[in-house]
Amino acid sequence: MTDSGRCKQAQGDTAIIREGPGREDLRDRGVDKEPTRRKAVLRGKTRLRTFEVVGLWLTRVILWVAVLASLFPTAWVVTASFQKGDAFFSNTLIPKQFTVENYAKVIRETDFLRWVKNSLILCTGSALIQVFLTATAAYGFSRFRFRGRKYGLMTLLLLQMFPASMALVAIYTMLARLNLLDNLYAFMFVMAGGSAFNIWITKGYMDSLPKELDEAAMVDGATHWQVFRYVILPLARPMLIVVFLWSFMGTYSEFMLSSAVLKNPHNYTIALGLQRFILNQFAARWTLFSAASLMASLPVVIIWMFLQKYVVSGLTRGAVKG
Amino acid sequence: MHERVRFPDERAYKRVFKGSLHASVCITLNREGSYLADVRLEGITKTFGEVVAVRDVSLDIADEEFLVLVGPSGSGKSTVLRIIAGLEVQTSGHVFIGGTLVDDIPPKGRDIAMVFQNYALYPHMNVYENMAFGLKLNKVPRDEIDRRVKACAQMLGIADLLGRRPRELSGGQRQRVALGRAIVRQPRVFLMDEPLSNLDAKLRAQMRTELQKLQRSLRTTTVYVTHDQLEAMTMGDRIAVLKDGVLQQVDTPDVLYGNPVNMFVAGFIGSPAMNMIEGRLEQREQGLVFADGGLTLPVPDRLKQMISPNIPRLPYEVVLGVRPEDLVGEPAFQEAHPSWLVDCQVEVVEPMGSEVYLHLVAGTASLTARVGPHVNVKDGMTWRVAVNMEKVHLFDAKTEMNLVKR
Repeated sequence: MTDSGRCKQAQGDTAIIREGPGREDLRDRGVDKEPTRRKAVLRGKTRLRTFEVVGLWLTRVILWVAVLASLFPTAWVVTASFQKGDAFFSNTLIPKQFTVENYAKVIRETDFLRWVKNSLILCTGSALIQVFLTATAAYGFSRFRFRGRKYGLMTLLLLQMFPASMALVAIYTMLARLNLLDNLYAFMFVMAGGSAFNIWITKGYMDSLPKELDEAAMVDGATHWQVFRYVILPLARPMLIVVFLWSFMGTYSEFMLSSAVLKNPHNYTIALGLQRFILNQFAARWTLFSAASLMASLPVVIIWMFLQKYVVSGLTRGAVKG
Repeated sequence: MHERVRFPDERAYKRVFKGSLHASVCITLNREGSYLADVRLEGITKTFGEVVAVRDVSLDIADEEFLVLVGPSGSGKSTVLRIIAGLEVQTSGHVFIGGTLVDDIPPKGRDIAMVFQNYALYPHMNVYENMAFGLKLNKVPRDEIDRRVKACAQMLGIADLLGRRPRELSGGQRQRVALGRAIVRQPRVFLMDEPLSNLDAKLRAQMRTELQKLQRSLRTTTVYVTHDQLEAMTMGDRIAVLKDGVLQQVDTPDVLYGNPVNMFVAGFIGSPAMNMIEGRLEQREQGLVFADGGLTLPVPDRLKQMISPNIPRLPYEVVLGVRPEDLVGEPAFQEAHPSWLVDCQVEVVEPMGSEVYLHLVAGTASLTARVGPHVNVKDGMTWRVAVNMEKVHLFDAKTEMNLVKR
C-alpha cells in the first residue's frame, strides 16, 4: 500500500524522480521504466544541444522555402486570374481589384468549352484504350511463357527511351496517308499507343498476384480469357487506375503531336487552345490565360480526387494477401 | 449433399465427351449408373529442363478411393497432382480419368476440383462468390447454384460467413471455404495439395478427421498430397510414397508400415523413425547372426528362411531396421529371449505422456526406443533392451531393398 502510494507520487512529480532520493529505490522495485521515459522527455524539452537546435531550424527553413517555392506559382496564377487588366507583371499577390471577369471572358469569347470537351473525349478514350492494351499485354507477359517474351520486354523498354516526338513525322505521314489527319478519334488511338513503362509496372503488379489464383480458376473451369476477366483484372484494378490516370494526364497536357495533327480549331484540345490563346488572339493577355488554365486543370483535379485512394494503394501494395 | 451424385448433369457429360480423343470409349458407367471416377497414370515422366521431377510413375487410383501421395519436399508429389489436374503437361506418359484419356484436355474439361496449400481463394470475392465461381463458369442455373452453395456451406459450418471476404476469415475458415469451393462443384476427383499444412497443430488434427468423414460421405475419389507421414497414415486408404520423382511403394498404411519395400519407405513412414544399424550377416557357431562393431544378434529361423533366397553370399553387408517399439524393456520378454539383449547407454529421456521415447547408444549405433510411461530410466544410466528379432527388417546395404518379405 505504502509502496504503490510512493510510486504514484513519484511519477506524478518529476522533480522527485530527477533529484529525489527515492529514485534508486524505485529502480530496485522494478518500476524503473516509467521514470526513465519521463527523464528522456524532460531532457528533450530542456537540454537540447546548440547544434541540435540549429539543425532543427535549418530543416524548418528549408521546408518552408520548398513549400513556398512550390506553392508560389500556383498562388500567383490564382491571383492573376482574379486581376483586372492584362499585364502579368503588374500583378501583386493580393489583387488590388477582385474580379471574375476573366473567367466570364474566357467562356464567352473563346471556344474554351469545346476545347475541354475535345480534351475529355480524347483523354478518356485514349486512356481507356491504353488501359485495355496495357492490361492484356501485361497479363501475357506475366503469365505466358513464349518465345520472344524476354526480348519483347527489353524491346519495349528500349523503344520507351526514344522521345515520342521522334515518331512525329512517321505518325503524321501515316495519318495523312490514311486520310485521318485532323480526326480526333483517330488521334485517340495514336495517343493510346502502348506505354512500355505502364506495361512493365502492370506486369510487375500481376507477377505479385499468386499464380495459384489462376490455377484455381482454371480448375474451376475458366478459360484464359475468363481468368483474366474475372480474377486478374479485378485484382489489378488499383494498378490499372494508376495507368488510366497517368495516361489521361499525359494526353491532357500533350502538345507537340496534337499541334501537328489537329489543325481545325474545332478539334483543338485544351493545350492547343491555350497556346493559340497566348500567341494569337490575346497576345500577352496573361490574366485571361491564368483563368483559362485554372479552369482547364479542374477536370484533372476532380478525377484525381476521386481516384487518389486507388493510386496510393496501387503504388504501394505489392502482393494481394489471400 | 451427403449422397454421391448418381447422375451427373448433362453438360458435364457432354463436356468430357466432346473433349476426349477417345470419345467412343470415354465414359465408363458402373452398375449404379454414375461415373467411374478412377484415375490411372501410365508411365508419367516430367522434366523441367535438365531436372527430372517425376520419373516413370504408373499408378491406379480406384473409384471412391482416398489415395495419399507422400514424400519429402522435392519428391515430385505436387507435380504428379498438377499433372492429374492438367496444370502441368507431362513430358511423356498418359493420364486417364474415368477411363478417358485426358492428356490433351485442359483443367476445365477434366471435371476435377483442387484445394491448394495457400487456399487460393479469390480475394476480391466473398465466400459465396468464391464457392459459386466454378458453377457460374459452367453455366449452372442461378437457383441451382444458390441451393448447392448454401447446402455445402451448411455442411461445412460456414453458412454465416457467406458474405465475408477471404481476408476477414481465420485460417481454419479459409480452409473450409477452399474445401467448399471444391465440394460444390461435385467433381469426379478431388485433388488436394497439402491443404492442412498452413493450419496450426490442433486445427490440423481436427480438420484431418473432418476431411476423412467428408470423403467417406461424399465418396469422391481423392488424391491428397502431403509431406506429413502422420497425415498419410491416418487418412489414406492407400499411400503412394515418392522419392526423387520415383514411386517407391503403393499400398495400405498397414502394409507400408509392416512391410516397407526399401530403406527409404521404412525410414519415412513411422514416427519416431525406424532405427537403422549398419552391419553384416555372418555365419557363427550359434548360426546366422547380424553383427556390427559392438553387437551380435542371432537371426531367428523364420527370418532366415525369408531372407536366404535374397542373399548370394556370406558375410553380407546389410542394414538392420528396428521399429522403436521393437526395442523391448519388459523383463518377461527379455527372459524369454536372452540372446536378443543389448546393453545401451541412455542419452535422453523424452516423456510424451502416454509413452516415453528413449534415445540410446549401443556401441556405435544410436537407437530410439518407444516404451511405456512407467519405465524407470534416467539420463546417463545403462539400460538393457531386447531387440525383437522376429519383427526386424534387413535391408541390402547396396540396393537398400528390404530382404524380408512378410
